[in-house]
Amino acid sequence: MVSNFERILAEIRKEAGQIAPNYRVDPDSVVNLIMGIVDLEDQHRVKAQHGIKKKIRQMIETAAIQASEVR
Amino acid sequence: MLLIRRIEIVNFACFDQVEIRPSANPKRPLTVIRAENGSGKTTLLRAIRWGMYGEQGLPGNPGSFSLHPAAWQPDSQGIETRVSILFETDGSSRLQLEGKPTNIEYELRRSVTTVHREPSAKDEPDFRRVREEAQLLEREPDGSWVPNVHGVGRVIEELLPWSLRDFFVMDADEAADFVGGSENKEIQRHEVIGKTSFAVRALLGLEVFDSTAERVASLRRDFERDATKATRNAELAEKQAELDHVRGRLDEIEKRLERNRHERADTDERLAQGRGRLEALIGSLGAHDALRQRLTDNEKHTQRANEERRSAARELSNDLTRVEMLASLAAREVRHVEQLLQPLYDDGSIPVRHLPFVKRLLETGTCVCGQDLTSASDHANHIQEVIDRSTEQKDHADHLAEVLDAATGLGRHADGEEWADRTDDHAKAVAVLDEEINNLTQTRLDIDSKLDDIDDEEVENARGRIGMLEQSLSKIDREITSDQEAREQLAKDSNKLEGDIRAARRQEAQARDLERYEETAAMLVQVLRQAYARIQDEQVRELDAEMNALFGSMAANVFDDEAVEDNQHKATLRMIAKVGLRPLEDTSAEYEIFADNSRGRSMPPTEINGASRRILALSFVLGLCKVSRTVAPLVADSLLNFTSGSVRTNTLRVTAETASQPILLLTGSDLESQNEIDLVNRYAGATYTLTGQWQHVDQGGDVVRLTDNRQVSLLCDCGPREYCDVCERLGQAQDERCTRRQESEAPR
Repeated sequence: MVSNFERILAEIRKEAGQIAPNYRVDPDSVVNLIMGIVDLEDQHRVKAQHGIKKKIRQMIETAAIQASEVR
Repeated sequence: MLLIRRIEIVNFACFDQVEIRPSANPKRPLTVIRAENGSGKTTLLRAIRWGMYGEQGLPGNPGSFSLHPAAWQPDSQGIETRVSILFETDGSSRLQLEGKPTNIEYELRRSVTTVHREPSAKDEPDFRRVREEAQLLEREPDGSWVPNVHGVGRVIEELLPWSLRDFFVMDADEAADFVGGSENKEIQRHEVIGKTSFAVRALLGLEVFDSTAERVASLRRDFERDATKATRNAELAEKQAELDHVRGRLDEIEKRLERNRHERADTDERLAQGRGRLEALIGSLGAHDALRQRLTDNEKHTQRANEERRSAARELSNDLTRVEMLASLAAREVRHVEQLLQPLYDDGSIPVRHLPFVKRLLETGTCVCGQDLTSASDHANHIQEVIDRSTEQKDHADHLAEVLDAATGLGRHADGEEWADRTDDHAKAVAVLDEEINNLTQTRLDIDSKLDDIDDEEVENARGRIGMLEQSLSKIDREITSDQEAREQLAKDSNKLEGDIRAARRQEAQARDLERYEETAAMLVQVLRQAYARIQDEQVRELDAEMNALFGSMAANVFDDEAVEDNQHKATLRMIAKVGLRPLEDTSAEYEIFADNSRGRSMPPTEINGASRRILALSFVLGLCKVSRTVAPLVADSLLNFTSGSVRTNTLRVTAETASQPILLLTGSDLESQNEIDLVNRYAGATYTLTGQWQHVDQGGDVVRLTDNRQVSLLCDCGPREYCDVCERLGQAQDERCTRRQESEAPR
């Protein structure tokens, strides 16, 4: 039972706030993307998720496309 | 967050039916279950573990542990064992950290039926378990219960992972594994490190964090590789240059084709004009050619007719010559034969017509004259001589007659009687041929006349021009055909190149996309790694400090307890100056609990006594839960073993104040001091007493009343200083500190 996600979220927010602007990406989008991936990974840890790599790849691709559209 | 609301155990080993409702009061989170040694504390812990984790929660070989009541005699009908755990979570998830928490109630039901079996070997159990079922129900807002869609294993593994069982359902001996094992069990350092590191990484979320970062980094490498591959494959400029070249050649060929088409059209026109002029000259080129052909045919026919005529005339001439010659010879022979025949006819011999008659007379032997001819008389001889001479003359006359016939025939030929027809045929054939030759000659004259009218030179010139034009046309046609083939091939090449270029452009676009993906993944990895590093550094440091603080709290005033320590040869609490957690050198994800003495020397677990180990392990468990903000029950057995005095009090206090839902299984001696009682009174929201009926005084124990004849443990609500009909032990009634509960609870 990972209850440390608040702290993780805080740290990711902090880092995303510093790093994402360098990539001209919205920090909140980065946080949501990372937490979505972490959630999938956590589910995978508990019970193997079929095609998790593909799902995460698609999440990253979608986020990258959306980011480029925003730019 | 996870809090246990109720635990119900039915027919589990020494338990008939017990129900525990742990405290869920945040101000009084402690639940104390007082039980003397042998009352079923460990069994209670196992029942909870079995309820949570099933078979793997039990010790020993799978299937060998006796879940069924000890008093049960195996039969074919069997007996059902059941554990039900009602618990509650706040509904938080990774994606709803800031959402409004919605508590969710779950009921985990696990049951199994034990039936009799015939053991095939001496050591085999005489029972077997069948129909084990686990069900996780979730309470709906309307209060109804529905099966959880994810199932027991997944939810429990997410909430209370099996690997962290010692965190939440703790046998203190096993919890000591975090610091190298208990007094009676030492485990290898790498195992200790593995177990400790897993707990740290799991509860701090580092494990999932790390695997996430690793996966995203892996994807980043994939993107990078794919982008490189796509870029390398593009080679757009090269293909474009090739396409331009092909298109240039196509243009050239198109132009040449166009030029040739025009030229062909011009040539066609000129050819038509030439043919028109020629036709104007000779009527038609075809007529001229026909005349020429007819002339040639005429010459051939004339030649053939002349040859045939010569042959016929020669044959006719030959025939006539031969007939004339034979006729002259025959006339001479006829005369000669006539001369020869005449004397023969004039001779007085027996006429030829009488010769057969005379021969018959000679055969009969009597002549017409009456003379005897049978004997060799002169008459007979004369007759015979006449016959022979006549016969000879007859043969000669016959020959001559044949010659005469032949000569007469020749004479008739000579007279034209039989040769006339043949001669007529030859003559007619010659005449026909003569006529044909005359006709052919006339035709030739006509043709020559017509041809004489045509200007051969001009015709030849026209023909020459036409021939040249036709050659030119043929050449143009060949060029056109060749160019069309080349154009077709170039069009194919062009199409292929265009396709390649489109694909290359797509790849180029894909490469750009992949670069964007790679860039995004790189950013994610950077965020994850830095956040991970910060969490790792800061929270491990926090944990390190928290452990030291907790340990210090539990070991406070330890000087008074020195006298009771049995293991004087081992490091006691007061010798430990600092405890904590440190990462191993050269690794980024492994940790080890340490205890340093006042001189800063790290003491290995073997140098630390049992009480110190337990407190150290407990400080790790409590500290990690606190730092990771883990809200979960802590069901602990034998937590205060080996501790005494202020350490025991401190340990109980720190546990009650730090753990989210401590459910402690304690013995009477653990609660001997008033300090512990005060703590229980202060922090316990629920108290229970577990009594083993087999500890009745009749059995040599100190349980006063036998309220159940079976070998079971009974649970009542009595606190540490209370007793009832169920749990009363010898001396309690006389102990002023203890109080009898007037309203004794029915045994659970």
